[in-house]
Amino acid sequence: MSGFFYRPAKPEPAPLRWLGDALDVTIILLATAILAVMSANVFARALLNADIAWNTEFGEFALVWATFLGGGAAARRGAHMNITEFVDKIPARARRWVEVAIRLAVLVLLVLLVRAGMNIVAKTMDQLMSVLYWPVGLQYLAMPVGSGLALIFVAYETWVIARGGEAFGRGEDLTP
Amino acid sequence: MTLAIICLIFFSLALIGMPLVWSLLITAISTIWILGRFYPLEAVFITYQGSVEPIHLAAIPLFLFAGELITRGGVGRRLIDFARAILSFLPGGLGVVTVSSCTMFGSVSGSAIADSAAVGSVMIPQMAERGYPRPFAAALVAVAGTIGVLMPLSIPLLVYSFLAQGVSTRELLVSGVFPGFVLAFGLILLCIYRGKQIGCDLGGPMPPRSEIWRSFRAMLPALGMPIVILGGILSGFFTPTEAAAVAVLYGLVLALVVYRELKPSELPGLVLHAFITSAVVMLVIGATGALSWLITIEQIPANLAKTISAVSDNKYVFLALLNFALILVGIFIEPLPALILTAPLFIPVAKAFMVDPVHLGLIMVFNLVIGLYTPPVGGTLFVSAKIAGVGMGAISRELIPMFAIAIVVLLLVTYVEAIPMALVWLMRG
Repeated sequence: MSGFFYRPAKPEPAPLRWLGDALDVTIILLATAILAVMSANVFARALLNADIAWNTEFGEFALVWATFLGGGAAARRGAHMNITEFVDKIPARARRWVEVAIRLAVLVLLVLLVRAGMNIVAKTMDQLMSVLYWPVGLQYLAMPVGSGLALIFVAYETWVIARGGEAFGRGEDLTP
Repeated sequence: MTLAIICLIFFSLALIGMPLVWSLLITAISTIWILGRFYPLEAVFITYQGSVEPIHLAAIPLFLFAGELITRGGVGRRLIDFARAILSFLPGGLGVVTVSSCTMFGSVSGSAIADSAAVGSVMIPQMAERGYPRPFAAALVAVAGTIGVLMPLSIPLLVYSFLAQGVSTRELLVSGVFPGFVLAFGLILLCIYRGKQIGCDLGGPMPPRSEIWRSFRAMLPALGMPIVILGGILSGFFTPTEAAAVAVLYGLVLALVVYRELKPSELPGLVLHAFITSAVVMLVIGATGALSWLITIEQIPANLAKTISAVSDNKYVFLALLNFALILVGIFIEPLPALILTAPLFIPVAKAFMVDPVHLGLIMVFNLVIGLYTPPVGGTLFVSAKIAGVGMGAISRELIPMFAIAIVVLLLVTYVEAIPMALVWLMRG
C-alpha cells in the first residue's frame, strides 16, 4: 500500500509526513465505509426489500469527516481550487510576498474555524443522533479537526515560501 | 451595494490566488463586519458544515471514483474500436469516430478532461497520420470531449442539482441527452465536410461483419454501465447516491475482472485521489452555502431580479443576458467553481422569470463548459494541445467553426425548450 503515499518534490519533515500518511489512510477507510454502506443498502433493498435504518446517519457522518479531512489532505498538496493565471504574472520576488500574505490571512481564518468549531462541538456534545445514538458533537468535530490539520500544512507552506521555496501543488486540475 | 462589497472582496482575494473555499468564507465574514451586522460567526460556520452534510452529496466522490476506474480500466480503447468499425467508412470518418467515441465515453465517465485525454491520446495521432492538420484534431477533441459533461453521469449537472435544492436529480441528468446528441451531430457534419475538403479521409468500405461483431462484444460490458445506472435511477430503484455506489462496483468489475487493465494495488491511490478531489469541490460548495446564507438574508437575489426586471421583464431577454454573462465567466473560471459561485445568485432570479430550474441548470452547464475550450485557459484545450503538441494560436483558428456550432446549439437549447426538456416532460407525464 506504500505506492500511493504522497511524496512532494521537497521532502517534508518526518512528523508532517507521518501525519499526512495517517490522514490519507483514514480518508481511504472512510471512503471504503461510505461505499460499503451505500452498496449494502442497495442489496438490502433488492434482496430483503428493506432499507438499513442507520444508512443515512452513518453515511452523513463518514462523508462529513472524509470531506474535512480531505480538505486537510488537499492543503498538504496545495490542491485547493484557486485561480493562478493572474498571480503567475507577478514578478517572482513580489509574488512570494503576495503568497505569504494570502496564507497569513488563511491562517487567521483557520484559527477562527478551529475556535468557533470547538464551541459548536461543546454545545452539541449532549445531543444524540436519532438512530445511531452517537453525540452530534462528534460530527461537528470534523470541521475543527480538518481545519486544524489544514492550519498545520498551510503554516508549514507559509514558512517554506517565506524562506524562498515554491508554493505547494499549484492546485490540481479538478475540472470534470 | 452589499452585492458590490461581496464581489469586490471575493474577486480581490480569488484573483490574487487565494483558494476559493477560503476566499468565500473570508468574504462572508468580512462583509458581515463591514456592514456592521450582528450575525454570529458560528452561524456562518454551521452553514458551512451543514452544506456538505446531506448524504446525497456522497454521489460526487463515488461518481468521481467510478470515472477514474472507467478511465484507467481500458474502456476508452474498446469504445473507439467499436466506433471505428461502424463509422470509419464515412468521409471524414476518423473525425466522426472521434466525436462518437467522445459521446460514448462521456456517457460512462461524465468527465470532459478524462474524455478528451482518453479519446485524444488514441485518435489525435491517428488523425495526424491520416493527413489531418494536428490543430484540427486537437480542436475537435477539445470540443467533443465536453459532450460527456452533458451526458447522464455528468458531475456538473449533479452538483447543480444539489445547489438548486428541490430540483429532481433524475430530471437534470436526462436533460442533457438531446443537447449532447445535437452538439455531436453538428460536429459530425463538420467532420464530414472537412474530411472531403482536406481530401485525406474520403471514407472506404465497411469492415466485415465479423469485425463489427467482435468490437461490439468487447465494448458491450462497458455499455452496460450507463444502462444499469440510468435504468436504476429512472426506475426509482436507486437513489442517485446509491447509483454512484453501484457505478463504482460496476467499474471495479470491469477494470479488475473483465478487462483486467487495473491492478488491485492501484485502487487505494485512485480512491484517495477521488475523495480529495471531491473534498475540494464539496468544501467550495459548503463555503458557497455560507455566503448564500448571507446573500439570502440580505435579500440580494430579490433585489437583483427587480433590477433586471427594470431593464426587461421578458424571460427570453433575461436568458440572453444570462448566456452572455455565463460565457464571460466561463472564459476565466473553470466550469465547476463557476457553477458553484453563480448558481446561488441566478437560481432565485431565474425563478422570478419563470424559467424551469432544470432548463436553467442545463443552460448554465452548457455555457460554462464552452469555457473548457475557449482560449486562453481551458481544461480540454490544454489536454488536447498537449497530446497534439501544437500551440494555442493554431488551435484557435480551427476552433472557430466548432465554437460557432456550440453557440448555435446553445441558442437552440436556450430558446427551443423542447430540446433539453422533452425527456423531462416525458418523465413528468
